[in-house]
Amino acid sequence: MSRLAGRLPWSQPRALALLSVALALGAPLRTMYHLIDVVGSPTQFLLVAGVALVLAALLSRVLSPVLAIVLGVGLFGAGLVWYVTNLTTNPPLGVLLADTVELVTGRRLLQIANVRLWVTSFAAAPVFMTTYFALRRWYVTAVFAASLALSFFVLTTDAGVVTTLLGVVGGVAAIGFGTLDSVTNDGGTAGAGSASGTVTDAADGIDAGRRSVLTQLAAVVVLPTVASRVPGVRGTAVSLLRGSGGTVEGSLVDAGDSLSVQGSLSLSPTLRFTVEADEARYWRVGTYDRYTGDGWVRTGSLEPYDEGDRLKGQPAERTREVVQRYEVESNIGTVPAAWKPMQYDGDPDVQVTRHDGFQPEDGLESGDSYWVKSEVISADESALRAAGDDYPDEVAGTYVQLPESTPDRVAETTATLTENAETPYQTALVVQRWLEENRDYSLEVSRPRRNVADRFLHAMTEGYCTYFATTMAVMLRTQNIPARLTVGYTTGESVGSNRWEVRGLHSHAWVEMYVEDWGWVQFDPTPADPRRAAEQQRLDEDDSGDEDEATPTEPESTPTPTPTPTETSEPGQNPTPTPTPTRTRAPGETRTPERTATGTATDDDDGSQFPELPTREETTLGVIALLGTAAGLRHAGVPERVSRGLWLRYQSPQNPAEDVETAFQRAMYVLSERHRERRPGETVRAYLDAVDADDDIRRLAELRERLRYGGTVSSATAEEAIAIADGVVAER
Amino acid sequence: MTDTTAGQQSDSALRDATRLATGVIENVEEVIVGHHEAIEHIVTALLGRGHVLLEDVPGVGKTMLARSVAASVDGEFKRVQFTPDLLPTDVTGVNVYNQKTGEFEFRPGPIFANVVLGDEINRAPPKTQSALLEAMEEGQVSADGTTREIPQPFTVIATQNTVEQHKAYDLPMAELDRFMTKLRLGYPDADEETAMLGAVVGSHPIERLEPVATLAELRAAREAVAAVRVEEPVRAYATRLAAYTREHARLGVSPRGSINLLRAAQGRAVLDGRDYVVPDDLQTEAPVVLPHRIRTDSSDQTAEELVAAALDRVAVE
Repeated sequence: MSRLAGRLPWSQPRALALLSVALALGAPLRTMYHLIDVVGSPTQFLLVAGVALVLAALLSRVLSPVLAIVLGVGLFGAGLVWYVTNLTTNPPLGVLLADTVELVTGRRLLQIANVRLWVTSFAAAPVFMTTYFALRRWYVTAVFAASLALSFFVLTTDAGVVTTLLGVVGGVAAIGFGTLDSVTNDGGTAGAGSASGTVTDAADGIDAGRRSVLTQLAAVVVLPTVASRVPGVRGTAVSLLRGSGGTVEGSLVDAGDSLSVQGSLSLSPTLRFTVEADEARYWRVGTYDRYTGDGWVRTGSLEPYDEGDRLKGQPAERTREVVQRYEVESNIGTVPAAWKPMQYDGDPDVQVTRHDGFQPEDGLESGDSYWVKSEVISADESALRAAGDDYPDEVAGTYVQLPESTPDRVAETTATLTENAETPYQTALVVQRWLEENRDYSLEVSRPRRNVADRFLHAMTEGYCTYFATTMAVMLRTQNIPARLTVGYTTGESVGSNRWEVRGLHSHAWVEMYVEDWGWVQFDPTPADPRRAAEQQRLDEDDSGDEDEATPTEPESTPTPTPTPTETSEPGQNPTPTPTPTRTRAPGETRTPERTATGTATDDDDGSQFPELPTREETTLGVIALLGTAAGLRHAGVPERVSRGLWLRYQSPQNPAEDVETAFQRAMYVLSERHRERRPGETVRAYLDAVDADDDIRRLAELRERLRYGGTVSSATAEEAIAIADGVVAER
Repeated sequence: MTDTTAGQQSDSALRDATRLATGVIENVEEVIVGHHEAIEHIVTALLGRGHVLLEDVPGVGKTMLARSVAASVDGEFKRVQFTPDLLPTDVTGVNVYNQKTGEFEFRPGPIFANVVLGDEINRAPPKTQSALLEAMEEGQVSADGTTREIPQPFTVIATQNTVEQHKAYDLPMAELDRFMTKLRLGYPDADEETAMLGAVVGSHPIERLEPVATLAELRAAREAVAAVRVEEPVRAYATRLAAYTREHARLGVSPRGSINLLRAAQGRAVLDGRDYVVPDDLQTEAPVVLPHRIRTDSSDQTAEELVAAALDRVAVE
């Protein structure tokens, strides 16, 4: 196979090396592309990268390396200047530096408000440097440039594990094949085409070298995969396996600045806090504005908050104040509060996010307590229903973003469903109701690989709150309605008047939609009854279990007595405009959802019953692993060993002459294993004497001697020969 | 060369040939103490229609060995002592004028015998040597335009000594090539020498030696040997051995050398009771059949060493 491959142009070391460099450069480029894709059209970015590529290709022959480095650094500097000067805000240098430090310590680039500008500004330099040096055969330098870019994205955690691994594999391969290329290039300068017959030895060497590079690549791919199976490594950054099995709370409330949609989850019954409030609300901890396809990211940075300050209110004319007092029961990293929080007072210091939510500077400890005053919209539903679509610029600019890769059918399906809705609010009601009625609640789901909203809308049949809320927010955004994913806790268990106990299992995700002239209004598309049932079941399970472990520090134990399974007082989202399926009769809601449900969802060609195909990256890695494994096996001589083992053990009669010879060779092989091989100049008799062979082997040798030198053989001797050989092999 | 398609000979012919060979060897060993391998080589050559050259210092029993072999066959035995003044006609025979009949008649020389012992062949002038060697090769003698067949079987056992080289005429390579085997006897070891001395101090045992084979039996044995199968792998092995010597020496083994090797191997096969030649036969015979046909490039390696190297390196298949 490899000998044939040797004649194909793509298997020449140079072609392989360039291919590998492309792979190494592809990893950061892909990450950049993904970043761009989340926030909009990648055309500009592709243009910049393409120009840099062409420039590098043109200059690779004429420009000296020193000048190229100068040019590369120049491109980087130009990108920096371009980025800073194009920023709408004019941040001081100190802030920029601090941001950079945050980036390399794990802050995701997606959290940068103008990530598109950022990526476009910095794409040119690595592309130019890598291409230039690869074409000049400075593979190590080229890989260095590419991996520098990749490393940055690894530090910001924007590069996925698979992409990173591909990049690393590309880098290793580029250096390996590049070395081979340099060797052949030096050796074959005279021949240029190296078509002469004298290079066979060199070609064999190259072949071996190519195989060894492949083997190492396979090791790069396989080792982390194997390591990720090791207990304790699983689920960490090395792991290629998708993490699953956490709690809903962990995936939502503790998600921090970016939230990725998970697979199956469980519910944690730990008591988190008790709240006393004027009315039952959802206790909100944060919101996410940037949808990435497989999760959500919160952009923007935190502002300091001086206690007692009153935040800017919503545009709503009619509001009422809701005062809440929280007592923290176990450590949490958030400050739950009803929307929209206006004032805060408490033990822990807090900051304010770009989206007007409170975040603690450090975590909250058990025993802490705080006070929040919120402003709740008091609107009658007709007013909300009538609201138009004239949104403030900063709202429209931030909250209708969708990845460029979002399939068009999400928008199409949503448009069909909400055909008859006249205002954004009506649209939201239709979407909410449709999701509630057409998707089942379940914590057991396998996480989709691609766009979560698209999959949930078109292929999946069940999911939990994150899926419902994500899908609803995305659907609204496709209709240019500002929406965002909000996480927090539901009201909790009522314990006394206006007092609720909130546990981990009450964590939840829902949607906030901006209504013109009013502000952010909450929607909960998750079917409430199945969710409550699941929560109650979890509580019952825990209750019937170990009650001794009533230590407050033990997070999984529940010291509470039998909770009253009443959430009857839970008002849903807005006391006034709570849209419940029965009550909501959005205009024109008739029959359209059903039609689309059958028309779009069930005809979907990649339905959920089929296992999803691996992605391109995974396929590439798999192919590399396969090739490398094959090369390694070949190098280790496994195929030969296997075929020899078969040959040694199973001899089927062909014709007497062949049988005797084969039987003899089998016995000789056993002898060579047991003693030594027959030397070329040694006759069989001399060899048998030298190794002091048994009589049956001598008999076999005599039979073969008669065949070979005496020309006589019969089927009887053939049978005898095979029998002897079988005996010898069996004794082995 | 041997016709390998000649087909199977009868088992009895092979057995008779083997019995003859072992009989001759045992008979010779009545006289000669030690030198078992040399005796086997001589008998092999005798069966393989070859001639033997014994080369060694005087007094190690060359002549006695040759005489013993000759005496073991019930044929005509002649001995020629080669001297510097020996004429070719002294070997081949001469036309003598018969006064009674008034015609020239041929008086056959000593070469007209079944076994001819040529003693100290290297002391004769080249002209005389070549007369002997021509007769060995052709099996006939030409004198005064007439060609006369030498009776078969015909075997020459020649000796030459390696001392007094300055008084000797070395045999040219072309003529050495005509001997199938060239043997060195060497001194017997101490025990053998003691035994030999005990045997010969009284009356010499050669005087009591009786023939163990008739000429007809010898002829039949030779036919049986000629019919021994030499299969392609063996012929190819012989070719590779010859090729090796040609690659590694100034003068390598000629095709005649290869033929002689296979013939000797046939004799060896019969001695072993086989009707086919195995590579082992070639390995046994090569050290005495090949070296005298080889001129090595340098003095670092003798022809014997070269043959040993060939046997070690050339692959047996």
